[in-house]
Amino acid sequence: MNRRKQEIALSFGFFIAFFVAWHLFTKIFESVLIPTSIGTARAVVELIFETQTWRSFWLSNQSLAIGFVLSIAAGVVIGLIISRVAWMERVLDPWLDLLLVLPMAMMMPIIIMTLGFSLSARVVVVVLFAVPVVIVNTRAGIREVPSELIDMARVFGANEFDLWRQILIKSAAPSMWTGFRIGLARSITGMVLSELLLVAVGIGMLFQLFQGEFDPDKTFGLVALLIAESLLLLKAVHLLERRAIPWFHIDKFQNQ
Amino acid sequence: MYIRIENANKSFQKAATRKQPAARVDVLDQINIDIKENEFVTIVGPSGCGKTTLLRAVAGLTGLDSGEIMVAGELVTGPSPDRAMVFQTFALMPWASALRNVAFGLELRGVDKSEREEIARDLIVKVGLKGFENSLPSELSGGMKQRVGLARALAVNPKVLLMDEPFGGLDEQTKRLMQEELLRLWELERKTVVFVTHSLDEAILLADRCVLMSARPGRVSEILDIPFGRPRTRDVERDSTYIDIKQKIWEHLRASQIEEMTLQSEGNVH
Repeated sequence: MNRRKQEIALSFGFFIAFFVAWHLFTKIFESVLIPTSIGTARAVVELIFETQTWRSFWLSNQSLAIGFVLSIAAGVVIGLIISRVAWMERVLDPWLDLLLVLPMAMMMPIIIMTLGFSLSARVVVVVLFAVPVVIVNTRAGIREVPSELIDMARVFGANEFDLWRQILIKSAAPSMWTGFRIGLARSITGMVLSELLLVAVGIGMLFQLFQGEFDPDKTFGLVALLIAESLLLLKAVHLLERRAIPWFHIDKFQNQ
Repeated sequence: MYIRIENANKSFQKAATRKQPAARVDVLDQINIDIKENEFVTIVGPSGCGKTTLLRAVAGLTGLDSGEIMVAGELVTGPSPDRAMVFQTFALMPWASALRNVAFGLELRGVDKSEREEIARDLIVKVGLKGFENSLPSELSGGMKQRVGLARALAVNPKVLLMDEPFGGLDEQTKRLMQEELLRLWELERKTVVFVTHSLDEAILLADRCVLMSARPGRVSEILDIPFGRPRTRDVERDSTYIDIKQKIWEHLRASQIEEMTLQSEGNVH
């Protein structure tokens, strides 16, 4: 068996072991409130065939999609500006720190009072979660551009515009994509939190509904579906990244 | 004179350490060098003698505190495509193919794609990289990377070629091969070259004249004529004159280098 096959077998083994452990756990602590592995699997299949599930995901994903795209757009622009203009960075840096440590759950009442139980309120939560990491990673990318590349461009006649277009943004791209991936993960957290604590719609509402019905299998099945979607989205961003900056991944291919 | 460096001065503010208070360090102190057209000049000196700063000043990347640099009758106020540079760290764009890296200077000048790629292809062949046009820098060895760096500099057809320890990061064998390549390429056009190095052999083998610098303050201590004819090969290394020159340069640098080491180690004691 070659190494790759061994790895696949091992991953599969872990997966099986996880389900066995889960099954034993529910046997030992028998309780109606703990979801069983088989029950959850059954619930997942049931949920897939219910239109209610798809409607909920559609509704939830609206705030996720709008919020994530806005975060990328705003995060990149702000990140580029603060890495270019020193005084802007000094002014905005404390606010960036504040945004990173903001106890978001406690901000919910303020958002409700200002924006009401609306889509825009949910989008704001998603953006507040995602935008700081996009800004921070964009700035880090620009800061880490090798100075010799900047010298090189200047020597060969680059003006400020050329420098940004040809060197800075391209060189910062890998770090920016890292920001997009973490930003996506945080967007999903924001989406879920907004629906549990702010506006009970979509997946969040369904979750509360299943909990109210004391249906642990469906509750957990829903979580499993959300995790599946999140992993698919992360994979999609990763694939986009590979297409956008193939040069950054070439070493990894060679080393395998 | 093609390149005239006149009374060039530059100092840097050195931050305070636990041992020493903040101080101004004279990196360049009254530097005067005249370089003729088509002349190959090497600059050697201990680290910290300001040779790289001087080269960057000629490139227009660093300003002077006082004094001036004229190239082809024009005062240097900033970078210009007339003065192309080859960097020690290669400075290749990792996302661009060898071809695109070579054509980069022309791209910035607005030369259209088919024309600049034709010029770049031609140069890639000249520097011996045929077949690697579409390779990324990460797929090339150090020597190949610097061939790309050299081709990029030649592609803009500069009046002056500035080389900042271009082979300093290469292993000994590759370095020797690249030196011979440079001698061969230089014969094709005989461009004016200013070449900074810390290798004595390189300084003699390549040069028409060799500028010796000393450190703190960075000064020109001597300018030596290298009397070997052109085209030149490595055979000159066996010439007794070569050995005499090498000895002379070393005696000159030795004192400066020891002083520099002492200063550095004092600076590092806590």
